[in-house]
Amino acid sequence: MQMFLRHKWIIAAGLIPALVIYTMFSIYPILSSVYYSFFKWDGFSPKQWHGLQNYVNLIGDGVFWQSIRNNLYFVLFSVLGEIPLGLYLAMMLNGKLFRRDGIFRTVFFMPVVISTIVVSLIWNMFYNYQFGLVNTALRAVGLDHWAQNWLGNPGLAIFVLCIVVVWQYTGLYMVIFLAALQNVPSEVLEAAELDGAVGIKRTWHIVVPIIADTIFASVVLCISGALRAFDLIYIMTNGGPSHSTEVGATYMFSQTFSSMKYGYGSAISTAIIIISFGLIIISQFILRSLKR
Amino acid sequence: MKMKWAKTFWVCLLMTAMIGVLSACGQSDNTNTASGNTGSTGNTEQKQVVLSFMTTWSESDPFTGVYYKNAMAFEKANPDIKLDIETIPYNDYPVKLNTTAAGGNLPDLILMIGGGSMFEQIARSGALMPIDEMMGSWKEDFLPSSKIKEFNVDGKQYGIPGEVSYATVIYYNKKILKDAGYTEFPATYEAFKAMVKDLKAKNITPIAYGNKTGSVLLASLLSPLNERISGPDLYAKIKSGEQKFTDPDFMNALKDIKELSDMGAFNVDLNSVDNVQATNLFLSGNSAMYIDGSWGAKQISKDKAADFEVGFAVFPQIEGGKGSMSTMPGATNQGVVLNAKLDDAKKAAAEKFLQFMYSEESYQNIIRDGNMVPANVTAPADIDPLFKEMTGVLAGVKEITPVYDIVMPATVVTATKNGLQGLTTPGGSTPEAVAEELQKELGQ
Repeated sequence: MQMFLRHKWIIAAGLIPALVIYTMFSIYPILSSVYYSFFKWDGFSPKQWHGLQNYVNLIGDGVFWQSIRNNLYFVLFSVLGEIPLGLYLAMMLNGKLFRRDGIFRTVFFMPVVISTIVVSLIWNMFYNYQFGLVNTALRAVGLDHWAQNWLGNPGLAIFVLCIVVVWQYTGLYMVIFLAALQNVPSEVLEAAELDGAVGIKRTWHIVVPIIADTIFASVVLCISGALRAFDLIYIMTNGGPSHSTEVGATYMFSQTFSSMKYGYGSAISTAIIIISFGLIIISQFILRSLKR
Repeated sequence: MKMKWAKTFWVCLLMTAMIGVLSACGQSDNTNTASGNTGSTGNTEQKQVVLSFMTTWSESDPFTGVYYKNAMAFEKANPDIKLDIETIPYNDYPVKLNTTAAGGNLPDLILMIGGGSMFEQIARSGALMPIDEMMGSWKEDFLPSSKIKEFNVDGKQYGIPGEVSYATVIYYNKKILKDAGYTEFPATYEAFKAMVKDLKAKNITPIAYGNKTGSVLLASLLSPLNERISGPDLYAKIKSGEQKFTDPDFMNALKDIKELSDMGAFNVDLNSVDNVQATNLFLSGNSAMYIDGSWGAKQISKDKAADFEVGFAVFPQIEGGKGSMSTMPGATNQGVVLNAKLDDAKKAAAEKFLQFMYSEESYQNIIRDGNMVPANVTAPADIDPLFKEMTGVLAGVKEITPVYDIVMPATVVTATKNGLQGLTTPGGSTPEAVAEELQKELGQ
């Protein structure tokens, strides 16, 4: 071990393979995508230099901004839904009542493990207008007029999808928080109890500050995960009806590969990178000021 | 000091051993495949030609199973040629085709589901091999050149279609229509609309559509409406700039779709379900009609209950329109094209493959499976009675007009799919907005 520390070149040599692979499959594609975004290109005919025209079109493109707005809904629902719910479930499972019962942990974690395709198909059936579980349940209790074409209603569809995302990923954060909670020293909790801090007071003033770092890390994970959303929407609604559930990634996909506008698609992905960076920086800023 | 050198020595030894193990793995892998190759070529006398083939065909698929079986029969008859088939799901195929072509990684044989802008683009980029010199095997009276022109780009033939399909067939539930008082399917659009209204009033979903991907309304409702209103050459006129999407001809078709949607002609969730789900809706007696291309008959014939009586109808006539019921939007499909970079041995093998796949016998298999074909062959006696009934109804169709997505560029097609979803969504887009959007896309 000492030898490794003294000879830094061994460490560097060990990093090179990973660095090469990362550059080849991550950095290079991103840079070439930025390069393509300055062209008008259908993938076959020669590229035409287009300058910043793609970006000018992008700024005037209502569907793009709608897809970014939908992305933000995803971020909001994920951060405000998955994290508090995950924390709540973790605390429940860490409590005396369920501590010994592994089954609940498994049940809540299950959706994370199931492939998104399966999740999408299951929820598609739930939301089906004629035979779906949701509508059948509503009709069974006489709420016929509440029965909806959930995924086909442009004002509603994106929120209906948000529920699926929250359902799918809450388990992940629950497990992360559970691990953090189990590392909270029992002496601290006992001391707090002696001082009269119980229930919600103890949670808010003692437990949450101790696992704050884990929560912050989860928020960043959550934001980047929500911005990456693609597969679920691609399968459940394909961005439809008429763009109402489009997110950045699905819009990029349809513009690039269905409309064959490779240049414009590249401009969209570059814009997504910039917006995502911005969001992560803003969230870091907010979290840091919260920490103080 | 001595200790340190000993440590370095052991670390180096460990690393060498690891590298050795890793590279040995790679090597043994190589020798394995190499010996595998020599083994298989050793069995046959000549060198076996392997043709890589990208397709949607698969044995269990009701739509393309017959092609897969024909290809297997070809392999059996030609042991010196092996097909290395990569099967891609139908909905993902255009994207896969598009990206492999753009990346210059096309396999030896490529399926073109249909003609159209993407195929033309790939052909013009020089990635495909024209087969004009091979065309001697197909006589004009067997395969008329007018029927294969969608696989011809700039005067060069690149492939031969396996089947002809019509974009719009109205399938109806005979029992539901009879109970509602209709013994004959309406022949005019006005009467058709009156029937839709009447069915709706009787609390029956008139038409089931599965438009989740957006392509069904485009092919099976917009295309026939355009034809009946404006005659066969509207798309060519719009493309050449002689007419616009915003002109009354095209606008009227959009308005008709909006009108149908507003009167509740479609299943509420038409934009959230796919073809299979819509077919099930129709076959379970939950809708009076189902509209899809002629290919829809296969799924219906396969899934319908024994006592379910299905009727077929041609899209009705519009009074004062320039089109007629003897014309139908349609396309030729399932042509295999060749990579331009094939060497002589592979080219000869590919020619054999084409001759086999588009022979009289193969076409008869295709007909037996419930498809119409571009070639003049006598229909086998043992065809599906349902399919026979449908071809009887469609016998009056004398002329085929090209479908929308073959004529229009990909950008316009995508925008139209989204526009039609907007038109048929409550609170969605207006016909005017959709037409303007399309005109803008075409102009770019």
